[in-house]
Amino acid sequence: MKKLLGALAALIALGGIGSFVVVQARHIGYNQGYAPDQPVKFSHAKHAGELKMDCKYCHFAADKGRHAGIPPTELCLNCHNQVKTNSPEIRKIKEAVDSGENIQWVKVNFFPDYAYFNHAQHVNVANLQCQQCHGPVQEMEIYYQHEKLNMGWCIECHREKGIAPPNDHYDENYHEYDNAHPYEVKPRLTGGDCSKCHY
Amino acid sequence: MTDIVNDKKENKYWQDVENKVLDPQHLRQEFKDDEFDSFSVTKTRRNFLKIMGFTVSTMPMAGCIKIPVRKAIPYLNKVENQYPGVANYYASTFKNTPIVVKTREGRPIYVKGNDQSKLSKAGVNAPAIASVLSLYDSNRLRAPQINNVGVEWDKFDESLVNDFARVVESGKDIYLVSEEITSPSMLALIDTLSSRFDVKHITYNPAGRSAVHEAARITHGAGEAHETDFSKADLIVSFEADFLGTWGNDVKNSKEYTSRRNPDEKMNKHVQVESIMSLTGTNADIRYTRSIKSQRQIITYLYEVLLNGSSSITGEAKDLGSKILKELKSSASSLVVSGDSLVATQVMINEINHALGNYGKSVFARESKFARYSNGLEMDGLLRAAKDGKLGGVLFLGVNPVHSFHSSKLVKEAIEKSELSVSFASSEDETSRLCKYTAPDNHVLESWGDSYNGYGELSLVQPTIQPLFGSRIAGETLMKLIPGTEAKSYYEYVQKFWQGNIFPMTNGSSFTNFWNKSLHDGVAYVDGLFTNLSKKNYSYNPVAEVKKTLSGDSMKITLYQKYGIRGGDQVNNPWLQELPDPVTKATWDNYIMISKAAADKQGIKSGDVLEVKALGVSVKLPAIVQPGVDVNTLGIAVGYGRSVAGKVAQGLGANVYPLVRHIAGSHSLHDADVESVKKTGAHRGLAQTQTHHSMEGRDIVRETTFDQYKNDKKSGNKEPMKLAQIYPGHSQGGHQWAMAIDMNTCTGCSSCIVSCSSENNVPVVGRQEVKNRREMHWLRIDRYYAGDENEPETVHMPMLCQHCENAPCENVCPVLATVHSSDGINQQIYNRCVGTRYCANNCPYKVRRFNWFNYDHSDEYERLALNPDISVRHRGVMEKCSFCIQRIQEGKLNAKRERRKLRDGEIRTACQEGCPSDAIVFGDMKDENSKIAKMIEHNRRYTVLEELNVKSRVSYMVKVRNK
Repeated sequence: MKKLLGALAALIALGGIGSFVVVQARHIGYNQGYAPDQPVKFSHAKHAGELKMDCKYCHFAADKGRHAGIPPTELCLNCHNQVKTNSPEIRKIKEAVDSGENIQWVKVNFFPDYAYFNHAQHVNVANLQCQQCHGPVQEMEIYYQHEKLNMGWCIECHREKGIAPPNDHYDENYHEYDNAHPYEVKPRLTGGDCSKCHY
Repeated sequence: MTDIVNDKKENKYWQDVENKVLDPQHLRQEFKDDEFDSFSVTKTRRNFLKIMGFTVSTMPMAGCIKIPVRKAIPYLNKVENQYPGVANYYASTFKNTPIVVKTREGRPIYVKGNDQSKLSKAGVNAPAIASVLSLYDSNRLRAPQINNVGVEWDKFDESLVNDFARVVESGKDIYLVSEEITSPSMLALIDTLSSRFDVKHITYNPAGRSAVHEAARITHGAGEAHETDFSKADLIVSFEADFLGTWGNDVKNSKEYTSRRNPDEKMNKHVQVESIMSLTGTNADIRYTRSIKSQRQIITYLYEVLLNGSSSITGEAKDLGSKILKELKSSASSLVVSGDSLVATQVMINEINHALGNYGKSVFARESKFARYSNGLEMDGLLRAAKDGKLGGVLFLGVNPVHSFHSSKLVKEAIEKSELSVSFASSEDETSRLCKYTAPDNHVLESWGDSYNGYGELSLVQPTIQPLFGSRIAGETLMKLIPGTEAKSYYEYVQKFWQGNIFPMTNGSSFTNFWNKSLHDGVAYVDGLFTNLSKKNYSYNPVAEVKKTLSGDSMKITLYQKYGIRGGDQVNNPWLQELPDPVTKATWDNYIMISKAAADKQGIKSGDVLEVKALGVSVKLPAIVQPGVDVNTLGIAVGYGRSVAGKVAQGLGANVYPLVRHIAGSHSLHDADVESVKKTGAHRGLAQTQTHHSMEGRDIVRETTFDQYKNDKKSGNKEPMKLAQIYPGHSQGGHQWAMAIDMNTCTGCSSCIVSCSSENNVPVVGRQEVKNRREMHWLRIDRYYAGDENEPETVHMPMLCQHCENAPCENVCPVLATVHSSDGINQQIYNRCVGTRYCANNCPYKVRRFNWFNYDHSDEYERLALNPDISVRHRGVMEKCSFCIQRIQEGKLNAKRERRKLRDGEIRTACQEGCPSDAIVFGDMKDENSKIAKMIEHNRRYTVLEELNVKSRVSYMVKVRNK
């Protein structure tokens, strides 16, 4: 009897640890909330929030191609040639431009190589707000990863928020098809085709 | 069921001349027994447990690792017109073929044809596509060298200029040996060098068409290649000329030739007479296997009958000659070409074309203003000067005669005797090793320049990247030798040349506009780039010259160029090495092509190493028993056997340039008398991709003849089968992608394979792994022979993932790594694949390729050629053709961004872009007006293995032979 109880306790303990590991393991690698120190104390809250600068002033490639891009260092000096030139942080930028030794930012949002994501698709075609995926950037003193950015998160948005193609010129035939098959999951819109992102 | 599996009497195709009838043992060899032998871990229980234990114990450790800090470094200054992740395209030129170079973040990653060109019409060939990998070849020299020691450019220039001035002062001869110069500004630069310092210019191309040029000099009085137009000939008779492969401008020739292969229009007829099986020969409607000697007799017969009315030629040559003559006379337009390297033969060909009235129609005698073509005999002047002690200096521009001249000893002596010797080799070669100075030239993708492509087309070469390895464009080095050159750089020199010489020939008003437009388009059309010539009187007697070569019955060697490797200047390019030869399907080697009859006499089998003695030279190479080779001929490819080359080419194959024979005023590639052929007893298994894929008696290739087709548009084809289906089909909404391949225009050249490899990061696996049947090409070209083994008919069939609607691979994947997409693509998801290989096993087309290893992309330069939009596959992952899904996505995105519909033809797959003969059509078959929808409705359309009801999305068009 004792033996049996012991075995049962061991089993429960094992199950508990196991489920804990599984639950925890599901978060491994997502790095939600990752907010590393940056070499220059740049504040999105200041620029995007207080000054209401357009995100695309700096991340100008966001509606053109795959990457939104980190702005060329020279771009900071468009304003900071005049503004706050004595700040030690701005001096770092000036020095980088003058010396040619560029600033090494720490990458925050990480996307694996086997998945393809295109900013233009979302920013330009779907006309999404940057905050949809990047969170309240205009409030971030230190930029951090707001969402999980994992596959489930992508699919969830595509599936549940009912994203429709905004482009009637292009999607005439899609609408036709959708009307004919209202019951089907629409993998074209939901990103349900694997090779929309994986190739 | 007889419909489904072909019955025996229809089973006329065969693949391997030595195993025409497959025995069951051979069939089993489709899969290799020793497939796992190259893994280093021996398969014992103990080892298994060790690995198992290690894996289990490291798994939790791996789970605890935080992602490492990744740096993100932006540009310091914004680059104009460049956005991260967006490709830029620039027009340039690769060896007379206008190209468009795709760059990402400033590095070239892909080359395609330029659709602005009226000559190549967006066509491109394998060497041009593969050039992007040669750019990143880490064997390239990092600095200029004096006596093989690297120095700074300043020091190099100082020493070179001093040496040059000293030799000029000494009054000794200086020679500049170059390949054919088709760059107008380079020609002007060389001419300046010649006029200022009496530098003698030699154009030298050992495997080129110097006999054609020399014959033009005799018959028309100018050193110009006869320009041909294959689209204007109803009947093409080609003797040995591999015009779709390596003879002349193959891209232009392929475009012209295949434009006349549509059986719904007036189809041309192609007769090929050749001593070995060439790519062009495999496409011929009627093909005769004849030795060079016999060809020369036939050409002499044609010449004599057309000019004199009678001929001294008798026997078999007369019979075939009169047959060909009859065809030529009954054809409204024709073109006769020859690949013979004997000047006398080419003179006769010119006369034959003249007598047939082809000049001005399909062949043009022209003198180009801005090009200098090669003359096989000019090297003799240099060697004579060396012998007489008059040689002071020699410069080698883009040539490697120590390797490629038939007597390398003489060239070596010449270099040793000259005080000044300069090589412009971009990586070390046999010639540069011996030269005092080596001034590494830029790769063409790093260079400025221009090109006269013939036919009134000029194109510009523009760099797409800064020189990677401290090289400098050869033009700039030459400019250092000319004091007082106005231009500061070669770019400026080219621009000034265009301003001073080419712009005045236009009637434009602004040079800047003209220059910018030419640079943007890549090509420029200007009148007056050539003058037409008419035939002149001459005393040369070609019959007597040819007859000198007809004595004796010994076996001859035909030296030829492989489609990818050509003369050997890109021999260090792994893509081209791994490209299966269109005819033999062999990779990574040169070898001796021998006929079945000749092989049987000595019991020679493919792979037996033979020792061939000819012209006092002994060559040891493996044999390939090849159908369609003349019994008295051996075929060997040039370009191999490099003793000083990069890690790819070093020691591969044997050099057969010493078998070039000096005969009857020509440097002949066809006249080496074989003294003996012996088996050495050694065996070198060839890395062929041929014998994997046998047709097994199935109805895979369908063909008909033009006569039958004219009467019955469905001839050769069969009614589509009506097959029942248990499962519901896939959705047919939105786009539905499909491809059609016209087997009538596919020449089998295999450019598509290189294009696919470049676009899709397909790894190179190396010789041994090809032998193990693990080549990774997503697209292969199956080549089938039919009929007589001496004069077989050939079919090329590109075979790639068929994107079946009922895909057998999808059903068996245990992890859903291969599933169907809503737009009809059979998707392969690498990050989901666990490598069971069930899918490959279940694929009826055998088009899935498995990553047996992590193929090397660690070279810091080579990896720059990777396409960043495509993942690099890991070991243990299955991969296959994706219909270039990245391009589909990009095309759709562009249309959406521009708020418009997708246009037909906007999305082009890499294989389609790489095809110089427009054999591949890709598009949305739901779009009724699309080209692909029309192809699918066509009466020649069929799908392979239709009886399996896999509903393949790749259609093939029945081959029509005009015989």
